[in-house]
Amino acid sequence: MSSNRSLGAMALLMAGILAVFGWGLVAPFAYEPVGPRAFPMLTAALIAFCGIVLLIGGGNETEAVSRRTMTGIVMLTVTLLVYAVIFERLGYVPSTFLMAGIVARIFGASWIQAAASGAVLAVGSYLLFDRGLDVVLPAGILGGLI
Amino acid sequence: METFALLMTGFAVAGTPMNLALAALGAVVGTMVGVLPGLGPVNAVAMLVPVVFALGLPPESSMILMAAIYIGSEYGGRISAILINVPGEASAVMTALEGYPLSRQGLAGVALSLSAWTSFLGSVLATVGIVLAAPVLSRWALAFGPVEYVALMIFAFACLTGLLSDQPIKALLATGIGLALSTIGIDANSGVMRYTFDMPNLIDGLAFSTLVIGLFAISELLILLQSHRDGVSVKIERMGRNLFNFKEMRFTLHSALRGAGIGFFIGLLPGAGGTVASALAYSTERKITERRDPEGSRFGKGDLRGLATVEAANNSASNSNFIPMLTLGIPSSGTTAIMLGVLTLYNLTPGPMLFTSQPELIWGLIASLFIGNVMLLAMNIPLVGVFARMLSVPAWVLVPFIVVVSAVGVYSGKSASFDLILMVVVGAAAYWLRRMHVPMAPLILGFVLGGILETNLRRALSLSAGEVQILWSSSIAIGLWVAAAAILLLPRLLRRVLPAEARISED
Repeated sequence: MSSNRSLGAMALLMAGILAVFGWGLVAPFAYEPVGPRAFPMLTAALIAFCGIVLLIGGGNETEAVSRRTMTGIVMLTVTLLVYAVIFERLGYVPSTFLMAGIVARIFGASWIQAAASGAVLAVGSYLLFDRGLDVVLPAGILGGLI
Repeated sequence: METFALLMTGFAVAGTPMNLALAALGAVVGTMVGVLPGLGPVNAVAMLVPVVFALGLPPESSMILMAAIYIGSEYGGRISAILINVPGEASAVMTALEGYPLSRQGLAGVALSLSAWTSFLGSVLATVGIVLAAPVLSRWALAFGPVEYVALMIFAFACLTGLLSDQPIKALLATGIGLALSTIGIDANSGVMRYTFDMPNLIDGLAFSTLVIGLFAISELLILLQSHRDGVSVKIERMGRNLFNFKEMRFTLHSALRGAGIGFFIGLLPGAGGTVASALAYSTERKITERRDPEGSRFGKGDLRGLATVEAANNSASNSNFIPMLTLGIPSSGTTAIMLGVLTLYNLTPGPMLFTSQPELIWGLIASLFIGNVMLLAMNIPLVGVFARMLSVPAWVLVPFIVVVSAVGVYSGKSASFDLILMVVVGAAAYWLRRMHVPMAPLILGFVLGGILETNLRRALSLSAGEVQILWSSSIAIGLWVAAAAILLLPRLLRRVLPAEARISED
C-alpha cells in the first residue's frame, strides 16, 4: 500500500474520531450563535478532505527501512516509553541510568561506555537540575539516600 | 527620530547583563546545534520552552534567547556543510555546493571565515531593514478586529501550506491536525470539555512544551537513529589558511550584497525562509557570473562568490523573517512557530498589535539581533575549530543527553508522568508523519493559532448574530482572503524559477 494511501486512511480515521466524539459537544446554555461544536467539526471536515485526496491520489512509496533499523526504532520507542512510566516510580537517577545506558547501546556504544555515560549523565543531570536549578525531580527508590 | 528613540529603548532592554548573557548563551547553543547534522534550532528551541518558564524569564528575555539560537544555527549550519559536505541545516544545502569543493582544495579556513563575514553582513543589513520597516508596519497595524484576525490566520495557514511544501495537501493535513489538537481541553466560552476522555490531565489542553518536545526532539531522535544506522562517516579536511584576505573580500562583496538583498525580500514573504532565499541567490549569482565572467566562473567547483552570496542570503532571510512573524504572526519555520507559541504562553497575541502594546519586547528583540550577530561573528572566526570538533561527539553521548533534557523539561511543567508518556507518544506519531513527508511547521502553527482563530471566529459571528458574510465585510479582510488565494497559486509560479534543491521543506 502506498504511503499516501495509508496516510489518507489514517486521516479519515482521525476525522471520524473527531466527528464521533465531537458531535455531543453542545453547551447546556447557549449565549452565542456558534457553540463549542462548530470548530471541531470544521477541523474534522478539513482533515477528512485531505484524507480523501490522499486516498484517491495514492503514490509516494516511502523508501524501505531495513529490518535492523526498524528493530532499533521500535526498541528506542519502547525504551523511552518505559522510561516515561518508571520515571516517577523508580526515581530520576535509577530510571535515567537505565534509559541512558540502553539508548547508548542502541546507538552503538560498548557496554562499558554505556554504563559509564549513563551513570555520569544520571548523577550529573540530577545535581544540575534538582540541586542547581531547583527543578524538583522524583527521588523514587533512592529517597532516603539523596 | 522616533524610530531611533525606540531602538535605543531596545538596546537598553537587550543590554541588561542577563539579556546579554542569554544572547551569548543562545549564540553558542545555536552554533552548536547548527553544526550537528540532524539537530537544528527547532530542536533546541523546543527543548528550551519549559526551561524559560521554569527559570521565570520575562517574555523579552525568552525571545532574545530563542532568537539568538535561531540566528546562531545559521552560522553553525555552514560549518558542517563546508567541512564534511553535510548541511547541518536545510538552508545550508546550497552552502555545501561551493563550500565543500573549497575545503577539498585546502581552503576550508578561508571558506569558513569568509562565510562567517558574509553571514554577518547579510544579518546586519536585514536587521537595519527591520528597523526601517518597523515604524511603517506598526502604524498599519491598528485596524484589526476579530474579522480581520480570522482572515489573517487563514492567510497564515495559506502561506505555510502554499510556499513551504511541495505537497500542499500534506501541509494542509498537518494544519488540520494542529487545529484539532488545539481544541482538546475545556472550552473557555461554554465550559464544555472537548476530547478530554475523562482524563484530568487533559482539562487544560495539551501542554505546548510537551507537544513541541515530542514533535521536534523525540521524533528527531528516531530519525537520527535511522540515519545513524545508514552510516555517516566524518572526515574533516585540513583547514589551511585561517582568514580570508582583503582581495577575497573585495572580490565577493558585490555577491554578498546581492545575496543580502535577495534574502531580505524573500524573508519578508510570509512562509518563505532561508532555504528558498539561498537557492534563489545562488542561481541568480551563477547566472550573473556566467554572463559577465565566463572564464573566471568556478561555480560547482568551489567559487567564493557563490558561497558568499548564499550565506548572506540565508542569514538575511532568517533575520527579515522576523517582520512577518512579529507583524502578522506568520512564522516561516518550525523555530519561529515555536517562538510564536511561546509568546501566546505569555498571554501575548502574536500579530499587528504587538508593536504598539509591547514596544520593549519588539525593540529589545531587534536590538538583540544586532548584538547577537556581533557576538556570533566574534565567536565564529576564532572558535570555528572548537565548533567543528562537535562533529566528532558520538551519537551515543548526544542522544541520551537530549532525552534527559527533554524529559526534565516536560516533567518540570506539571510534574506528571502523564506528560512524559504523551511526549513519547507524540514523538512516535510525529516520526511516522515525517516519514510520510508531512511537514511539522504547519502542525505547530495550527496548534498555536487554533485557539486564537476559534475565539475570533466565534466573536465575529457573535457580532453578526451568525451571519457568515461578516467574515469578508472589511477591505482588509477581503485583501487577506485574496492574498491567501494568491499564495496558494504562487508556488506553481515559483517552482519554475527555483532549482530543485529549494523545494525541500524547511523545519
